[in-house]
Amino acid sequence: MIHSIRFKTTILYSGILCVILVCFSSYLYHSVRRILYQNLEQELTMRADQIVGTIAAYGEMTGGHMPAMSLMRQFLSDQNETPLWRGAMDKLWERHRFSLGAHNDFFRVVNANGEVIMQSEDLPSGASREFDRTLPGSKDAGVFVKIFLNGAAFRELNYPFTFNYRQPLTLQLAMPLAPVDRALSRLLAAMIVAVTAILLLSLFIGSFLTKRILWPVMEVTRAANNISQRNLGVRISEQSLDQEMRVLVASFNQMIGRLEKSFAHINEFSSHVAHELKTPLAIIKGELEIALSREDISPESRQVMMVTLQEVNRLIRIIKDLLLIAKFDYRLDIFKMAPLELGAFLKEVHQHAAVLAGEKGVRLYFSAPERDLPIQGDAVHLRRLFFNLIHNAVKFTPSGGEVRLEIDVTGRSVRVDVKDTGIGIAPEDQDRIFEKFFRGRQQIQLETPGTGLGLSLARSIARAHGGDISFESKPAQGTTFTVILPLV
Amino acid sequence: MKNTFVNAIADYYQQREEEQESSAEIFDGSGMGVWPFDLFDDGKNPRLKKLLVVDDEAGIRNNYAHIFSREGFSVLTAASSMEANELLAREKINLMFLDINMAEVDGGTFFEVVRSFHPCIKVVVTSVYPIEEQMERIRNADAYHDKADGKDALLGIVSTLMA
Repeated sequence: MIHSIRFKTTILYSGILCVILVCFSSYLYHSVRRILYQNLEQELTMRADQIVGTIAAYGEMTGGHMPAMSLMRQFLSDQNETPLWRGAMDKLWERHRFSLGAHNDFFRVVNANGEVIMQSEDLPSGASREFDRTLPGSKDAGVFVKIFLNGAAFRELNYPFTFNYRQPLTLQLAMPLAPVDRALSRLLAAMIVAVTAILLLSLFIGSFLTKRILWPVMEVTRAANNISQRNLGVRISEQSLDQEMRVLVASFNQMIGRLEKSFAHINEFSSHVAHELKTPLAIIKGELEIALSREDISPESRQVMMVTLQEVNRLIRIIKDLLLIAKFDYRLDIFKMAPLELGAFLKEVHQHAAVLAGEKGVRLYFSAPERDLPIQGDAVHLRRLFFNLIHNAVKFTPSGGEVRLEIDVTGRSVRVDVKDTGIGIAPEDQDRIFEKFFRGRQQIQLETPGTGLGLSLARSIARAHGGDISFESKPAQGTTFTVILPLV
Repeated sequence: MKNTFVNAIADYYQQREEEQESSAEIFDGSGMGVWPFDLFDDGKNPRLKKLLVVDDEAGIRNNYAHIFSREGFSVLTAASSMEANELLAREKINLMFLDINMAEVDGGTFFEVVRSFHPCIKVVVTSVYPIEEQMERIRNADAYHDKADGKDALLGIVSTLMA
């Protein structure tokens, strides 16, 4: 799954899309945030203008006639604490505040010495400290600053102005950030949901699209899998394929063509080998046999001819086995599978092999379960397989020993053991006995005949039947070869 | 190649049949186109059994001739299908050993000819190909022999077929 092109492509697409969407969203978020803050700040400035204008207008209107205003002037110039007039200004602000739509705003006016001249009535506790912190000349000073009142965020404007062209004052006006923050968090939530949804959709669509794009590859693969040694003549159709796929299929078809040629070559080659090597050997063998059947030859000549005949036979067997192995490797169709009752089949094999064993003084036992053991098999090659195993067992078992041919059923497969009480296989040889032309050291020491191909053939045959072959061996105690074949 | 050969043989046999129709009565009142010594053949005496070895390898021909004349058969040899065809026309053959791989007309083609025109002749396919492959190349032969299997196997086949 993880290593499929479909998965990787989809993830890549979605990854790229994810990066683009996240970049775009964060840019959008910050732009909106900046615009909202700018609006808020314009609003703050506008209100501050109005407050300052109101204070100025109030001063203008009352002029010097009203005692209140003169007192206020005096207050403003002398900075005497006059709660009455402060109260009057505050009330004025409160009235304005609703007309301005600023009932959530807080404000205060301070003079150059940082003394509060007037402030909102409902200024929360701790507000003075926050306002002080942002006064010009303080550490967090600035035109627009963020402060916290009652635990809520506010945008604060420090607005310097002069009253009656004399007194430098600072208006500190704070507006709640909550509406802006609320809008921003709503935007953020919407963007997260949208991005996630788009990504999921892109994963789904991407996976679907990749599947569609890769569909011809799957088709080609399926067609390629159907091509076996039996039908190498088959080619995959290049019609109705995209250009890239057509190139791929064309190269694939060319490869199959080359393969077909080389298979034909091997076929022809082994046929030639058979003919060119076996014919002279057959003639030599025939002549030797005729010569040996004559009575008037000296014992020495007979001995020489016997040895020659043995070696010729060995050569013939090697060539036969080699040709067979070459075929097993590239042509499974030489196996003619047919229904076979393994019990009866092995009984017959046992009867034939018993003669061979008897000649050597080895007893051959046979045991099978009381039931039918139907398998699909090629009788010729299976006989070769079991004869090879029994022949080996007898060969490496000293006279007086015994070989057992035992059949067992385990689940859906049948297990055939060929057990001997022979010399066993040396531990250092055990890894290599199925290799072609491998001959164990005991075999070489004892000079037992053999081509070194028998077990390799046996394994090829077992595997061609959907089974396998294994063995267990203890030196000087014996070896058990086990063939597993699937039951029908 | 194959077809011209088969046609030529067909023509040849037609001619022969026509000739025989006129001469059959000399040998045999029954009108069958048989040879005179068949009248004395009780099928038990191997001396009267004729074997034909068709093989382009001289070694094999000599070898088989040697083996079977010692066994008391009368052995004829042919180095090619053409030669064998000539012999079949002249001689009454009981059993034929036929190689597969021969120059000009191969064993497979000649086998068809023999089966069509001499159905009584038993044919043993002898080749160095494995038996299974021989069976693939020539179907319905009476027996198959791998030349590398030696004298005893060959004698076994012949005694079975001649029994």
